Amino acid sequence: MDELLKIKELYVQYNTDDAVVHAVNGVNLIIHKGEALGLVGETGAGKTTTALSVLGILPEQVGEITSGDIIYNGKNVREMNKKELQEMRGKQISMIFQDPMTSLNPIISVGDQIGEMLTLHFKNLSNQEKEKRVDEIMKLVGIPPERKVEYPFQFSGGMKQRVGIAIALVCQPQLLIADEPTTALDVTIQAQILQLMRELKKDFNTAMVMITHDLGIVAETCDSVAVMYAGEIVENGTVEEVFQRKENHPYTTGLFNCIPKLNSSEKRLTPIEGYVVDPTDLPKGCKFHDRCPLTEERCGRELPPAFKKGTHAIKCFRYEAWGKEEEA
Amino acid sequence: MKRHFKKALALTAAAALMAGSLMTAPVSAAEDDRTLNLGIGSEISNLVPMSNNVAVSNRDGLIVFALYDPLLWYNTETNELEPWLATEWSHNEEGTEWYFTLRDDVYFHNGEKMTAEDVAWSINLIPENPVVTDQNIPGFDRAEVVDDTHVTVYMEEPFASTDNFFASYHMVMLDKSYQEEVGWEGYIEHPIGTGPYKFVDRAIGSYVSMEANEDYWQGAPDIKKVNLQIIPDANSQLLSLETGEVDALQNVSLQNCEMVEGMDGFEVSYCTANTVAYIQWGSQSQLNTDENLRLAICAAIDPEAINTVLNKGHTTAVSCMIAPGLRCRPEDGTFTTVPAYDPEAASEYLESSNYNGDPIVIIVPSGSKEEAVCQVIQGNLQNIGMTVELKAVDGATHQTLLNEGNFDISVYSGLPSLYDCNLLYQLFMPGTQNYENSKSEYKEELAELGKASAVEMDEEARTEIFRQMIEIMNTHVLTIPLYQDCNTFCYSTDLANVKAIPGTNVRIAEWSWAE
Amino acid sequence: MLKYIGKRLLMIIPTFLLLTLLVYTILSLSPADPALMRLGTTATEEQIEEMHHEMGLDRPLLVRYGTYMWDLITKGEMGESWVMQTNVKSEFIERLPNTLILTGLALLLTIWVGIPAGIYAAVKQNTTGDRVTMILAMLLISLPNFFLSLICQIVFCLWLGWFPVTGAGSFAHFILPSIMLAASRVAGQVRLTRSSMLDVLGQDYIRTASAKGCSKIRVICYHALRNGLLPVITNIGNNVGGLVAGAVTVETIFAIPGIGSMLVNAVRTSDIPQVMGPIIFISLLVCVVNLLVDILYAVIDPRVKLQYS
Repeated sequence: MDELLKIKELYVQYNTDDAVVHAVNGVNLIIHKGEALGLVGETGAGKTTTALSVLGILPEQVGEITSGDIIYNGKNVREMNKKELQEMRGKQISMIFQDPMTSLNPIISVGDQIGEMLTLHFKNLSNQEKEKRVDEIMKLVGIPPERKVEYPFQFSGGMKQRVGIAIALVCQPQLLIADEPTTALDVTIQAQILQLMRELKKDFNTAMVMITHDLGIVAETCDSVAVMYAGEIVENGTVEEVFQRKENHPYTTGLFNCIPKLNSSEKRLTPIEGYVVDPTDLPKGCKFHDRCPLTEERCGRELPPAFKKGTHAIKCFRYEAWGKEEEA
Repeated sequence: MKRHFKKALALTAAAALMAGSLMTAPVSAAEDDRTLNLGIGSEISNLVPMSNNVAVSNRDGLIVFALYDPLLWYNTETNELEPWLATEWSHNEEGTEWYFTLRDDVYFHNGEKMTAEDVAWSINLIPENPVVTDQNIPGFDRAEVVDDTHVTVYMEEPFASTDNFFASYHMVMLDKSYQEEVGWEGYIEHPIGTGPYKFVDRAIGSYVSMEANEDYWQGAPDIKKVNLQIIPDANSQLLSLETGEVDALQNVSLQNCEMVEGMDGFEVSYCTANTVAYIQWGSQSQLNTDENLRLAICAAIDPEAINTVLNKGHTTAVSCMIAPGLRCRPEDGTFTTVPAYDPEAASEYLESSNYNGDPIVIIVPSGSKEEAVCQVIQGNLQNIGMTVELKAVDGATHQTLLNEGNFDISVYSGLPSLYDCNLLYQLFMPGTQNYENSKSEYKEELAELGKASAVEMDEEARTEIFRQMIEIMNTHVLTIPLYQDCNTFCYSTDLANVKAIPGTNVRIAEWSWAE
Repeated sequence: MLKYIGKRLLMIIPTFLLLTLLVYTILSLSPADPALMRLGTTATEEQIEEMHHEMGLDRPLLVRYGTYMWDLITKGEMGESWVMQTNVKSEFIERLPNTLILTGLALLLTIWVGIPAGIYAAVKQNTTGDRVTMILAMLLISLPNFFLSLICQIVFCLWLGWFPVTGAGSFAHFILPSIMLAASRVAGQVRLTRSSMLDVLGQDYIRTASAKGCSKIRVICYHALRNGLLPVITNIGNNVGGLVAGAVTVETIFAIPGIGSMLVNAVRTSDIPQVMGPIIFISLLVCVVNLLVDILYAVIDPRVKLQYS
């Protein structure tokens, strides 16, 4: 089994003053070595929360993992001590964040910020060796190494994100979690960044979780895809299986229908009816049932489990015939 | 980041160390001789009288007479003039010439002998200090050396209190050759006198330290080192006394003196003072022309309440604005007194006056002793139905207002620096702002009497003139004498022979450490 | 960078001139007549006019101000006290070290107590530690300075005997007064540091730092602190002004002969030369400190530094 990361029945909530936000409600995910998984969903689906939980960097006072396991390379992240966590972060699992404008420390040079990763995780490196590696990774991501003394505000958005990628990859982690890395960038830059990430993934054989709301990006860069809604993985499978559009969760279908088509003569877009569910007040049963065009009475009462056919899993009673997911 | 932090810490530590090393050494270095630490409330007004046309304030009598000597000494307990640097003195009949015989065994702190030349030169500084002397020794012409031990003072016009002037803290003997050597700036920086204590060191606003003059012509004082500490805050003064940082405090407020009495190991010496607190009317005030209103105000005020309640029984009633016993002060009973406290009579006077309900304005320097007294007066007057406004202002504004006269009532504490009734002459002196602006109908009469008193050399006749003045003033309530103040010393029982006296010419040379 | 410093230095001059002119004018407008302070109430009209002439009070305001500043700049002379006739400059120089030490120590205390406390409160936001710190800070701000000083004098000087009550004779004399002086500023420092740090700790790059594997201490000290202290450092300039103002009360209570008490006594007696000396010093000090702080800011924050090079 070359399972790298296994998330089992993860429940995460935010305890705010006003109410408890149930952000993640029973997520199950497996990522294999070298695999690229696309994690898709609307804003507020719980994608970032899941990612932060894996690294153990949920906001201290409000974020709480209430139950579930996160097994990385055989070890349970929830049971790791501080030192083990610090070692894991950056060296084994790295994260790239959504907004390059604010993700970098404004008063430290980019070279130092990249070099910090080496200082933290490779204590025995000489300064010379460190500088060499920093130069190398900068070249790799397409930034001239002379610019390592410059500060983030002197770079454009795209370049800043390249710095972010350099930081994430300089220690050659096994798993890279990219949280909507191109959302804040314009389309041409987006293409460049995605191309870069594809190449690096190939060179370093890094597993990747690509969090995005853009199905196009998933199609381009990922091997498998997980669709998230209201804190649950409602559909999970290879890109071929899901994108074939033969068998899908109604939500996934809705997502596909939202994409405007060049070759059709529709004058209006087709949104998914209704509003995203309120995470402080989750409904009984299937969380999508009040927006689902195919809903039945049972959907409002019972929460459907994941029905599995090979590597394709869907949490909808319409696929009850497939049979339930076996407990591993 | 760690090294920046360390750098910052190191810089801070260095700064603190540097600060510590810049400190002046502790002041009291008493090894075998214990230093007397005496607390006073504010900076010395003038450390060298006659040096720079600045008047010495009467609270500084203590230090002036520690460093210097006058020609004569006024004993405020017996009210007698005693020989001091001058052994004999007399004047001609007209009072235009005064003759002084000097001691032969007096030396300045720098070892130089005091000669008639020093004395005459010091006295001739009078014209250069008009602020001090214009009213305290009017008519002065010049002083001349007669021989080694004799000096004659010539007056253009006689002035009856000339001898008292030579006993005051305005006129002390200075070293001529020293002044010629270092100039006034140098003299003020390091004063030289003939007094029982020598100047050692000073930090402005902080302290003045002195040591005993072993060659003092009266014999060296018992206490060898004295340090005057300036402590402006009243609470800090008391705390310093309690912790032993000071051994004695001068003129603590009467309310606080009570607290000191309750403390173990400390004593308070009280003495009825020659200072009298009295009410003055503003020269522009309507009160000057409304005698019934003045009578009303006088009868409404209860001085006994002020004495017993506010001043804890230490101040005493007084019949006129000059304390009894001072030179030429008429005896109690020889003149009318102002109306006594009588609220009913006060209301009657008020009725028959021209009071129209406009607020009566009282001005007082804020934070002064007199402020509480003014509040009591305000209460008294409000009791008979008058509207009274109390304005507490800063010292400088108070002076200006006093001069302009744009107020109704002001409480003034007066200590005659010449130990006699000359103050009455000064109050009604033509040419002064007060006089010129005053609307009082009696001012010319009083001015004439005052002038006559200044040149009257016969004591009896002079006393009679003052009696007439006081008679007019009291009958028509031109001022209201409130009480005779109380001088105090709070001191630790480590000290002996500490006593408060009616005047401010205290002799700490007479103090000693208790056995 | 040098250009920046040079420009700022030049700006001090008009600020300084304007300030001194303003103070001089306001003092001159006071109803109190300094000639009267000297002469007393029994002065004649003649004497008062003579004294006005002697003190130069019969000349127009701008002429007086101009003469004063000219003497100051060309000869370094500050004139003579109108009330005591002593040389203002020599008294000023004698008193200066006391105030410098007092405010210097107080400033150090404010920084070294206020900033760490603020960081602690921010890091431990909403826990007991945070609440206790903020309550203490609020207490310090609410207690009037003189009251706190009195209590401390009684406890530490009288009962415990650790410090002398008054005076300025040794280093020990300055400890309690500087603590009292700092007490009034520390609270503000804590609150500012706390809010600034909270602001920074909520930023995305702090999350990035954690994701990189930085220990909590490193996140705070290396990533958060440098950003969080920027507004705090600029506030130090304000603190200096406030400290000098607060020094007045402390100097009076603890009988420390410094610039503060010199200033207050002089204002009370409308003694303009005596007031101008300390005012000049204080305004120069505040200008210079603010300049230093701005330079420090530029050194720490590369965004500012690069703007000027």
